Amino acid sequence: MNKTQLAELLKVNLRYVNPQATNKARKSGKHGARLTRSIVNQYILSGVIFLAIYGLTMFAIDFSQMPGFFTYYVALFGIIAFSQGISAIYNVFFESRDLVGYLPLPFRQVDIFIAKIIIVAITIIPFALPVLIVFIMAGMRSGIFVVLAVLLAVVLFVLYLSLVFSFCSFIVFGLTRTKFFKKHKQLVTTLLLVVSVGVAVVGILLMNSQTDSLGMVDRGTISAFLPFFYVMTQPFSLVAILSLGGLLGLNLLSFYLIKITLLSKMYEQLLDAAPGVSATKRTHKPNQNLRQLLFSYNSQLIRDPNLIMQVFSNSILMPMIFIIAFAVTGQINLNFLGMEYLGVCFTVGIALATLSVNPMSFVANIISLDKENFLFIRSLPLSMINYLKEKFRFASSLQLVINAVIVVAMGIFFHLPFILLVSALLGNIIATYLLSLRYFARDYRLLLLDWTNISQLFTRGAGNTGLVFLMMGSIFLNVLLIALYVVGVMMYSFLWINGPVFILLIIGCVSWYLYYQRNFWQRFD
Amino acid sequence: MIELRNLSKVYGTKKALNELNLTIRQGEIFGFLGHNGAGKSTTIKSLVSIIQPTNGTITVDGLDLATNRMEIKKKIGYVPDTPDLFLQLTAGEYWDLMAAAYDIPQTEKETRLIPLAQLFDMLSHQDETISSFSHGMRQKTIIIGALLSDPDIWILDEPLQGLDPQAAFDLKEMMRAHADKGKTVIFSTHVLDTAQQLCDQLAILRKGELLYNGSVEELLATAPAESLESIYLKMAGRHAQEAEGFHE
Repeated sequence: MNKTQLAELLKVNLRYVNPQATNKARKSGKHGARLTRSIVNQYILSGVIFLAIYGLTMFAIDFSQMPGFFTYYVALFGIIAFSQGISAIYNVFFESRDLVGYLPLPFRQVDIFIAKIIIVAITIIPFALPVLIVFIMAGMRSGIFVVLAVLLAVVLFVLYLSLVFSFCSFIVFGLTRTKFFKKHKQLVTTLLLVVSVGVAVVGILLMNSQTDSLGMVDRGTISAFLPFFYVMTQPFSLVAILSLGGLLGLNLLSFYLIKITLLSKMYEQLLDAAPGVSATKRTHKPNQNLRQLLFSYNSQLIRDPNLIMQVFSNSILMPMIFIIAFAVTGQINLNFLGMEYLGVCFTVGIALATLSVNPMSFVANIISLDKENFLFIRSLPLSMINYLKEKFRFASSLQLVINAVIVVAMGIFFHLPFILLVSALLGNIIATYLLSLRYFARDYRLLLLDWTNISQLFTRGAGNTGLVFLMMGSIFLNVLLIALYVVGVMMYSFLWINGPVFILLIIGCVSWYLYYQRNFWQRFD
Repeated sequence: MIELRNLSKVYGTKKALNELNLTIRQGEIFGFLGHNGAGKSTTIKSLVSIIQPTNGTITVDGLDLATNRMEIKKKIGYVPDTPDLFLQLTAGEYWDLMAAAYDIPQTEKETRLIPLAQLFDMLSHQDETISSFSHGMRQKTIIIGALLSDPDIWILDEPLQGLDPQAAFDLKEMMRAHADKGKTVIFSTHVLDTAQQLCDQLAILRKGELLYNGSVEELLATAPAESLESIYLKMAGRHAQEAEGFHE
């Protein structure tokens, strides 16, 4: 390992993880080592915030007495880290367009690999941090000296993550090496990402279906993860020492396998998998008008399997998991709900729209997906407002269809009366349209045309931390509002509660619409 | 000395390079000429390890590229055909990366960088991101990075594109001086005047086939009354392609 080269590669890759944050730091006058420190500090800060949040939410559970919950959380966040790891490794290694820049340079493959895997780790760690908390809390509650508990937890966490990343690396690098991948790259990429998300969904559902208890009664243990429990709760016992030895051995074995199977052929593999090496052909459709051409162009923009899966897993997956999880347990039957819940269902439709229309949706990135084309389009004798309106129409229609499917699925699974389903659908359509307006204008405001990795688009503005807070905040607010509304419906008559809400909604929607007409669309007139 | 033996590259069913054989000696400026899609960039990208040839070998000073990649890479400074690399970095950070790649100590890096950056008027831009640069400034940034390690072999894919007249002149002078020191300069161009002005040896490619390999003088001597442009077009232009059934 060449330390200088590795440090330089890390420095470069760090600047690429979140270019918006990097540019912000640059604008505040940070350069060189100060800039690197500033980026690293941001990750440390967000890590500390996540640790605090997870720590507070898990504080009540005594993991030292509950090996079932201990192994459940380790498995749960392992599955999430695995799913995210697959797409992160694929993105960082195969989709990033910086790789071609390294190929002619005398960097060692192992250094490029390590630098990139550290970047993958940085992006995935927030998803797996609860495991660190589980380890620390299990150790502390077992009466182990705090410093030792934290040290052991950190060591175990590193071993745990390195096993997850090794497993992901074998899958991604193994699959991309096959002849089938070389022949059907787009299909295999889509399958790879779909399967990784599918595994996460099925895994979570399976584990949830084993028990519905959220009380203090422990659940069944997952024996594969018990070694972690032994090391954290009884570190000086024979079983713990054997467990730690086993985990270390497993890690060493996976490092060795990575070295002999992946690193030895990595250069050739990256060359093979690098995008845009060979020409792609598409049948030409003659006599299309501008509108049809733009529709076709916009649909090509989103036909990237990586983008589709990122959007799917980040904006559509959560409501789908929520719906399927309840549907599988079969405990919710809303057939008894009467007309008084018309407004509540309308609000539920709005809530579902806020979950699925976010900075990671198609409509929130459709302008930036143009890349340099956007600047070129500006030079053409085309009406910019018409060009943008076509884009908006395309992306918001797509979003409306996706959201409508979610709402209808919810209605069917929860046996919602037809009229209430229509109300939810209506609320969802209106909210999707209004939120699409907001995120489309935001995309224009934070326009990024020289992105190399799709996640750069998603983290524009507030960055990763902001994104997590936005998601958590919107879930919290939605649940609160719906709960208050339901209480209101139970306490007051139909008109007294729904009337004011209806008026408020009308005023809110019209103001929202007028705001974006005036502040966004009219500037292109 | 660089030797290409039976070098082929196939994309699907399309042959981008077909059994190319070339010898490039030290102390010469070697130019690749050809239409778009002739195979110039494919040859250059194979030389700098960006493309894996389907068949054939490349040796540099007797070392096989396939088995001595790192050692050979250290001898080469490469300027790609599009200078859109590492756009999120500042010019200074890009040069740091180049220095690390070629193991250039910090003090040595500064000693080499300052005159190069001054020559190309880039010293005052080192804290600006490459994405904010014009095409010409990006090209200058990449050229400075490629020359920072003082490599023996310069491989430049259409290096003069986008450069202002002063920078183009300076680069041509530097290419000549480098070759005169007994080192190697390989470059591709579409500009026949530049080829005529600079090249000691020339390779003309068409659809992956080598049409001519020799000096400019020898080529001009084949038709003394004609210009290089006229000879080139007869050899690789539309009429030649039609005559040989290449027309699509």
